[in-house]
Amino acid sequence: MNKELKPLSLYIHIPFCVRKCLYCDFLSFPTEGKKYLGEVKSYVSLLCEEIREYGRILKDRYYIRTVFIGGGTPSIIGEKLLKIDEALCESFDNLSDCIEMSIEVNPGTVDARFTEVLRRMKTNRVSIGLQSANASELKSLGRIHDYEQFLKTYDYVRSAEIHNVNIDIMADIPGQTCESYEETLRKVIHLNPEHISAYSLIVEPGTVFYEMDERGELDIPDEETDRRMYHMTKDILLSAGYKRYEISNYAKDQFNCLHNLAYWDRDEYLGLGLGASSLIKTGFEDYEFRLDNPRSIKEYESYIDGFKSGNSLEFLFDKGFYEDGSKDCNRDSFGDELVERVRLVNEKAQLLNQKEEIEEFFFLGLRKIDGVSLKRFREVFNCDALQIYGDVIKKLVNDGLLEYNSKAEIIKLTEYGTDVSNMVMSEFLIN
Amino acid sequence: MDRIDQSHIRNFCIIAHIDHGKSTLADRIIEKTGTLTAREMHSQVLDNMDIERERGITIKAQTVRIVYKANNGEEYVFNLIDTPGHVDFNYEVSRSLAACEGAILIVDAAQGVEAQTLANCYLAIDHNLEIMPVINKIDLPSAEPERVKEEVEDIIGIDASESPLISAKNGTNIEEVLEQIVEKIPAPSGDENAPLKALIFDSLYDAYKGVIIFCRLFDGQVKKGDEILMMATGAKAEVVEVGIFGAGRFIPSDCLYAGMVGYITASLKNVQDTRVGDTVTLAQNKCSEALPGYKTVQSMVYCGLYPADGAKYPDLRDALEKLQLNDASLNFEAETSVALGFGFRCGFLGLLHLEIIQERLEREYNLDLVTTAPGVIYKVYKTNGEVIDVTNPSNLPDPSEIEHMEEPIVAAEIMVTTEFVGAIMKLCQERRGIYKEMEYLEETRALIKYDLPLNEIIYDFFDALKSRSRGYASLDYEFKGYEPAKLVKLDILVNREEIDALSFIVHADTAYERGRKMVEKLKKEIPRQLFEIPIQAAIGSKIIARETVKAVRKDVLAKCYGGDISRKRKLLEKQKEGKKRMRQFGSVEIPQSAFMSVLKLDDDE
Repeated sequence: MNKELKPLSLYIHIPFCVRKCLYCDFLSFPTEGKKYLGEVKSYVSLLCEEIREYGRILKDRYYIRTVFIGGGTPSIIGEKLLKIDEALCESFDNLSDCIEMSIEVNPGTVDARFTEVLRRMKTNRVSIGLQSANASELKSLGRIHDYEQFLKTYDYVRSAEIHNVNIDIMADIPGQTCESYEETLRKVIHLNPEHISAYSLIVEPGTVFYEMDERGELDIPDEETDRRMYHMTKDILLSAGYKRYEISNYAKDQFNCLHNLAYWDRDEYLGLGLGASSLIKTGFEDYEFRLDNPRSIKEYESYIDGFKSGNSLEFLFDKGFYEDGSKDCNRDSFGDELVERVRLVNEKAQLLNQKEEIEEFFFLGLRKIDGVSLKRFREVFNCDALQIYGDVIKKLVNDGLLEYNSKAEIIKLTEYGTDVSNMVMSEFLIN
Repeated sequence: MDRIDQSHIRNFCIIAHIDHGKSTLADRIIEKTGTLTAREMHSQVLDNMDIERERGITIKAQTVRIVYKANNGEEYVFNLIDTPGHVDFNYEVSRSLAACEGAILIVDAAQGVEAQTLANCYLAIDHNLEIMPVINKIDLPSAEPERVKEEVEDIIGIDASESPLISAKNGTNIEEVLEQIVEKIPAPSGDENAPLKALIFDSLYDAYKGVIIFCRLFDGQVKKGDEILMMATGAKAEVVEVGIFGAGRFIPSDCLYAGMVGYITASLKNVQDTRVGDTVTLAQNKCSEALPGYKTVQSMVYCGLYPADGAKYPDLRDALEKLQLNDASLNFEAETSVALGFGFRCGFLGLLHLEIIQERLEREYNLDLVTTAPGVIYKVYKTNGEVIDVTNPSNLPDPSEIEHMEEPIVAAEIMVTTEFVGAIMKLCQERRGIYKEMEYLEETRALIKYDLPLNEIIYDFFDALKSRSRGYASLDYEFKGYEPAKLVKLDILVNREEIDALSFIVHADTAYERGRKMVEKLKKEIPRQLFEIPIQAAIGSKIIARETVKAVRKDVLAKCYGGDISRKRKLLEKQKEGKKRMRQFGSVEIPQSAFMSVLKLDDDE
């Protein structure tokens, strides 16, 4: 049975935080004031049921290559993570062989006991949300911690023998200056983490910052400052030995985040938990699905309940189902039927067509600084990328946004192209 | 079909200020006379274009034949010729009136006499029509029928003592209207043995029948097989069919006689040959002279119409040709804009006409259009003695070749309640109006007369008028003539290149202000691109205003969370969609909305 196992990345979502940060539009509920505390326990058991259901369906077909437990603040649920780990181990064989087991943590939620959790889960990568080393910036973001707490967290993590640590930092924070940003960068580098994620603040609708911005109360650094911070990030991190391998991610050699790369490489991943997304390739007739789990606890509960009454995506991986279905030789209508059936289980499921797959190949792949291989494109899609995108690529190269190495058949963003990557990527949408 | 003697024919129209209930009364008349059963009545039968019904205005003249059995026991044929209700279509109104012996003048029992009531009424009096006033909307709580009757007598000077007091909406007192039509409106008195003399008051193009001429026979007769001649255009054609109008349909008959209103179809390909106002006669037996009053309709307002998608240019041409089949007052010619590609310079009777055509193109022909700023016809006197008409600012000669320029002036009459006189005069003053006189029609109402440059009222004058008078002011105007003015061409340069589609001609005194507003507006409309883009307003080589669109320096979705790709896709799709609506101009992309936004500069005030 084990002969042809495919790799799979698992994402597990923990939608709880102590408090919602003012810029945050992620799917996460604050536990402060105990409002959601009761829900944590029941959420974990629902999540474990989902893990078991998918383990049942997938374990004979896939092996788990990476796991990423993200949030929210996974560390906030402490030892309940062990329940999740237990469910994972029971559901998927040889989980301990997975090459990357990441957990996201936030300062203020990590203590000595948590290091035990990390150890027992055989975690080998931890991502710490610092955002800034500056006290007033942390405050303006609505973070619950100060820099001292972060340092303690970092030490705890290291003491759990985690040799792959990421630190998240943020530019464009209200009140931030180039100097304060540089100080954050320097302090972080001084700690010598293996990986640094450097994001710019994006004011998203539905956040407190968005409302403040609408009222003109958000004092975000001006464009010049933003530019300087942005370029400073590249320069300083590079000279400190961190290589930029993705638009916002820098790592020491060998420490690229494999889980995140799976997204950009369009490798299969399964998202478990509230609002989690998946890319599932059935292996039959190129049927590729993007799944999105329900985003409210209530809906999630009834989604999990559905498993008991036989709602399952097992048929997707059953060859017999397609052979039966292919009696109807009209692929379109079969695809429609298929997606309807998947939606009975996962309401927001989308069946990707080839156009979408091709577009994704580029707009996701180009996030990688090393670029996209047209050779690989040919292998995957059995057609020549230049036939589809020849003009687009030529134009983008002329505009200095894209670099094309015809010998290696690789395209990648130029430095400027990276700065305006959305403009470049949107060109890869067909029509 | 039995012939009805002329003495039993009544040809009339209904005139009113907009919204006073013209189409509703027409509906009631048709309903009461049994032309249609109540069930068949689609509200407002005569306004049969969607746009007409939605906007509550009549664009094309419509005609219906009704058989009415009067209280005296005899049957009468009523030909009701509906007239357009907007000042843009004055000439059509005048031709419709010329086809009638009488006019029902509707006055709103609450609003009383308005600017167009007066204008249309004088037009009817000019055509020697018998005017029959009717006071409508007596069901309104604010109705003051007796006061309004007095107003009609005082202001217009016609007897209103016997005016029926009606509610067209509720069908109240419609019989009285019908009886008065028989009594008061004179029967036609043509000579059916004289040579054919018929007035074209409308024409339309029908996919099956070809051109259909709507006409009123004054003398003579016409039947299938006759060869007819249009006296002004000189077009000749053989009659294929003649007939009369049912409600919304054509009823063929053997022959049309003097006094009748009916239609003729003939072997004609386009309505350009059948100009409204022209006289139809027989080619072999011509009448001695044409009916008076014919004139070529002059377009007053011009603008460029361009397909948003350049590939749709042939579709736009087809659509304009089709519309022109039905609308002889629409004219267009191909033009090329550096910025917008291939399109058409189109002439309209007025801004409403422009809007209607634009809306029909978009709705009925599913075209996405870019419209350039509407302008008027300027007369340019060149230093070499030549005089040229300029409708497209791009065609304006070099300033050094211009001796002087003249712009069209209209004589405007604005009727307004006295409390708003100050506000309206201020508005007219701002629009370079020349005060002529003011009459107090009664204690609370005044008629203000101004001469106004047409180019000052084609943008948003109506809106401004309404907003400054809380909707009470009404406007009527007519073309007066050309007067010299200090006019300049204002150019817009984007990235140092002139965007021809954004140029316009403006009075020198307001050029600076306009230029500044335009560049400000454009700055908001033109998205940031890979490089810095200066936007400048210039008169000749002199830059009078400038703004800069900074270069995009960052456009990244930093965090792509938990493999949620659909969100990223949505963002990129939105970006791509935005790009599609852009026009590539040199290296700059300008969204279509930018071209449209400058038409509404005053909205921001």
